[in-house]
Amino acid sequence: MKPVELADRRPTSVERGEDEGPRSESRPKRHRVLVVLNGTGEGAASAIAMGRLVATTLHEPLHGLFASEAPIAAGELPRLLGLPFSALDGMVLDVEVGDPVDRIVTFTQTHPTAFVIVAAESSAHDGLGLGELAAQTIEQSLAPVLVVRPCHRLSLSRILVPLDGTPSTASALEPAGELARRAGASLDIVLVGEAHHGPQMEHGAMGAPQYVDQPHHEWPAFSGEFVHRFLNTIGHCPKDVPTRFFLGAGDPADEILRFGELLGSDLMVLVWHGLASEEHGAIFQRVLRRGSCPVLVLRCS
Amino acid sequence: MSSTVTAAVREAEPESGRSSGFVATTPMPGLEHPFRLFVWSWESQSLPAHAPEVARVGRLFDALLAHGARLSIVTEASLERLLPMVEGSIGKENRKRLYVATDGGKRVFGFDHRGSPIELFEGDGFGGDALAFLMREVAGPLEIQPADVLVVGEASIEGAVVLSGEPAGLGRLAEILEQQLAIEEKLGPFAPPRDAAWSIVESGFDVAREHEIESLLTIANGYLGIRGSVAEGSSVSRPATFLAGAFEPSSDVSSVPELVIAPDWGRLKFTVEGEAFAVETTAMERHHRTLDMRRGLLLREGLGTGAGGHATRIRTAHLASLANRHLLLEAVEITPQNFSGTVVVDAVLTGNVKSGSGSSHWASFEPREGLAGPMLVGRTHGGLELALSSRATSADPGSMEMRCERELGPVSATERCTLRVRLGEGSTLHRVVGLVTSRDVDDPARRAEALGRETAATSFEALLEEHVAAWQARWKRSNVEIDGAPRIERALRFALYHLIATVHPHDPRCSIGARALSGEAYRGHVFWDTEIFMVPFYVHTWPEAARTLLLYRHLTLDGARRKAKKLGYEGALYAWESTDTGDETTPEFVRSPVGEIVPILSGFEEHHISADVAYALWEYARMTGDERILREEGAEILMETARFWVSRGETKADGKFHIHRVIGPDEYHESVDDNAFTNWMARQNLRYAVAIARGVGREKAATLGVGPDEIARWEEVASRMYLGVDPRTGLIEQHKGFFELEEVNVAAYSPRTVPLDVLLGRERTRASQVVKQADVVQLLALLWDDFSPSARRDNFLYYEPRTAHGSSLSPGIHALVAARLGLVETAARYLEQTAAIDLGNNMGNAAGGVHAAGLGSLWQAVVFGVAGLRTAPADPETLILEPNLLPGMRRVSLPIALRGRSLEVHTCRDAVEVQVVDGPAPIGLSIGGRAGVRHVVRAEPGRSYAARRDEEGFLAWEEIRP
Repeated sequence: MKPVELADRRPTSVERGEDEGPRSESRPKRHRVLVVLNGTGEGAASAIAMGRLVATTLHEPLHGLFASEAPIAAGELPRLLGLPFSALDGMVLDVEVGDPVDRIVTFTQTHPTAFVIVAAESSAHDGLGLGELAAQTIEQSLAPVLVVRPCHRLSLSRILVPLDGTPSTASALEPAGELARRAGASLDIVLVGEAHHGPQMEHGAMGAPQYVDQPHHEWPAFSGEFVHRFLNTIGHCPKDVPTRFFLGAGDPADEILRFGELLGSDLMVLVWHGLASEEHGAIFQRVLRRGSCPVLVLRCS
Repeated sequence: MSSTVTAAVREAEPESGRSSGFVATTPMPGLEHPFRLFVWSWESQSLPAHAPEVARVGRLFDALLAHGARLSIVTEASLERLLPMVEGSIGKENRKRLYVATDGGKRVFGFDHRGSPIELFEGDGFGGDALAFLMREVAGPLEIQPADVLVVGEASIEGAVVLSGEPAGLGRLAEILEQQLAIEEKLGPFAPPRDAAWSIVESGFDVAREHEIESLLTIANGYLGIRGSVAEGSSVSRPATFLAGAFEPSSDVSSVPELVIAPDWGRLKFTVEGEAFAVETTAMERHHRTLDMRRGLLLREGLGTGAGGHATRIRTAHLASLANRHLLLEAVEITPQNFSGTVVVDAVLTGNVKSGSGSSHWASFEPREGLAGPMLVGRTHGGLELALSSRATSADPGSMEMRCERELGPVSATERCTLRVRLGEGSTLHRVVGLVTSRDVDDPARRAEALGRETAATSFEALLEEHVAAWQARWKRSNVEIDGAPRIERALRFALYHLIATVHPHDPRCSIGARALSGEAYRGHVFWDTEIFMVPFYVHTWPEAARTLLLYRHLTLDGARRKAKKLGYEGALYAWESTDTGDETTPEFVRSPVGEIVPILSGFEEHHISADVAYALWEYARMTGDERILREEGAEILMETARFWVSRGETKADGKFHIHRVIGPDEYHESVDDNAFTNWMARQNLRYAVAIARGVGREKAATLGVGPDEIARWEEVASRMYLGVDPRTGLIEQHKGFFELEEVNVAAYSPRTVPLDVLLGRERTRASQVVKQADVVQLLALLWDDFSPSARRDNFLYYEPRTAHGSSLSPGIHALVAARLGLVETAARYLEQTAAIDLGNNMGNAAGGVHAAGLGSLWQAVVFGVAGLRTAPADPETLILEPNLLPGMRRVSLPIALRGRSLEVHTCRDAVEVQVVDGPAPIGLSIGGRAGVRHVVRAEPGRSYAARRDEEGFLAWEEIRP
């Protein structure tokens, strides 16, 4: 299983040689960073800021999408959102008619999209605790969705990637690593061990060692093997990204959140299988609700 | 120039290749496949047992059984009707792999060690389905795949190759069996073992698991060990050849000595018609690696098609000779499947190696043109010189179809062999590599070159035979059979394979690291693991090796003296982690996976190691009768460690001798006072020293300046040792204050995906009664006869539920003690857990190497626990047998060496049999009868004895036919 999009991305800055002839459909496609402008002005402002940061980091175009039941002029957007006119500078605006989530999904189907950036509603308490727009975007978008709250500090220096020791969650490492590489950020990998849970049965899974005969030998050996297996062998994470590995113990959601605080993470990357009901989904929901930094959600296909 | 002809090529699996990470294999062999299980549906009514055709087929099956195949005969006939054919055609030894389902499959029989039938099930045990029983009980645990099963007759097994045949088809069956028998001859060294109980097979190529597979498939001979990496390498391969006993500094944050990684000698690059043949880039239809434990061979078969469409089968065999530990052998067979043309094999010696810590141990290399083949001579930063000589030849000495050229690089020496290969014909290349270091001779290059010349005069087959014969000799003295528990039997064989392979019986400069010679974890450091968990195996199967391991402790005694002195004590305190000098090499700090800097106290406080060495030495001498070691080296060890203990503690106001601030085997509790294991073992150490100083070691005592007063002091300290026994309950307190610690329900945290101390946190764990590993239980195992039956049971039942088994050393000892206590279900659970430490592990824990102590504990659990063997405390010339067969086990058969005698012990459900194979004098056998009566016999060499079981114990010994 691979998260969609970023995993298959190629560098976009490749220049064409003089003898390659005129541009054609085979030219490198640029992956857009799409900011969802619907919602509150405060939310939209935080999404725009995050979008700018990501787009600048990736050297990709920044798009803003606003969907409404009735047609409106693009020039009306700043007023509708309660934002200064300059807030939308440098952004390609897509003002559309229809359901916002439908339009977002259509956009990601139509255009190569690096990330969809959507703001969470600060007052929302039900479901994923993000508000309907963000929740449905996560559930339906094929592109990775980055959820941001107005209270979040916006930076991309430390990226936290919780893994559960399965190759499917390790699929987050390639896109997360690529983002980290572009941003000059470091990756913090967290594996959480817990009680009342047997080893992961997915083929190629790896958990904390059952036997730690001598911790000063076992832990470095385990960490080295884990990082090798998941970052290099399965995750195909870029090799030049500084990486640290941490082992947590206890409730996985609590531990992920604790490490997020402890390490001063700027972004958490979560892999979601798409089911809120399953155990992994419950952890996902809690981290999304309580995360102290933006969360990037990668869907396993 | 080459020509390519058209031939049928099976499509490669679409998933194969690097991108998916997994290469699938195609399991549909034809009749040329060496089947492991034959199912023969015998129509007895139309062909009676005495019919010549049946007898012929029986004899052919007998030959296949001798190769390790298994046979199940399914018949309408009764056992009585079938038995004459079995007894007339199939040898007694081979019947161990024979199963007969009689009376239309209503009854299933196996055969015991005497070749007599034993009923495995009757009636509806498996719904009356004998084949379902066999597949579940025999094929399943040994991972015999349906594709490895040949069914002859009407029986049905999904996925098996089925030959339906009427009686007239017996002639055809005989032809097929002859064809099967020819496979081993045709494949020679490349023939995979038929007996799944003797092989570890890894199919496909799994990039995620490759590191642990490399560990499991290690080949070694005690002088060196080679991980089972694919010869051509891959993006994830971590090949390494370890030199036992040779150390260089690591590049760890806290640098410690680590085993030297020798130049890579086994690298082979295959180029088929200009394209590399490699597991990651060639579309592999089949890819298997097989560890042939009986012969000590690593086999590989790869059938793949390159991008150009050339399909090639390549088989390889690798070994580290057990007959001449300086020899490494490789054989390669290349068979084009759809072309004739050219294959180039690069046989490489390269110094381009680094350790897992990132250290390059080699200061310089000098590739040379040798007389017999290229050489690579290197020198480590520490001054160790190593020389490798290599010689590749065609298996057909007069062949003009292979030419080899030499190529010397800055740090490598290559033989590039170009082979003219023909469609469907195997071309075989042999390679002999000699490896010598300056630890062996003054001029290793000259010796390696001489080795090359000497081996050039010997055929590859002869070198191979010597190696196989050396392994056979070892297995004869080691192999354990467990009828009814095939998974445990194979795991034990795997354990013994590594234990045999990892010891050098003649070089006391080497001991055994925690991960043997199979991986870089633990850096090759030697712990108490060797003396307490591994040495007992060698004592009873390879006493010379046990002696050598103990002499390592004598060679490193000065290091132990230095450590004691450094910490302010007298005598000798062995390093918790020892390498070549005996100086302490435990790092002082580590960064935990939760990011904390954690001080490591074991190097400062885990002092029971000195008593463990003393215990192992004493037990070795008791079990072998080797008095010489007690007079000399052993005496020195025992007395110097006794001196340490006296200086280590003090007599307090209670009149008892106390040892404070130590770590026992339970490392969750550091800096504790009066750890029971430490104190009890120290007392033993002192007692041994007293006995030796007043006995056979008098002269050595004099040379060490040990006088009567000092001996009396040892005796007094031993008698005053605080032992922590609660007089009310009989419980031994693990350390002072342990009983007051918080009780934590360990079972409430099961299952878990992280050790319990990580879940609870360091502080809470220390403040609780959670025990990392057998501590008091370890004491019960070692000093069994010092405890009353109730003390053994009560203490086990107290500590077992409190033990989190955070160490691989723990489950095996719990299996041993539980079995001795007759807690067979508990013992079975722990035995399974021990057997799975490496083999049941797909979670990466074996990536850094196999768990050598766990392997040793598995042997101990079976021999000391299940078979219930130990010597009488007052008379080592008497072997006590108190068997405790675990559920499902029908028989445990094992050889054991005891004080110069070789015994064969067969523990069955209804009897125990002992054959004194050889020895200089009779030996006592003692077994429990009714009402506490013990039956003892002085068993004569060359004779066999049996004690039959009745409801309340065993009857008196009787002599039986051998």
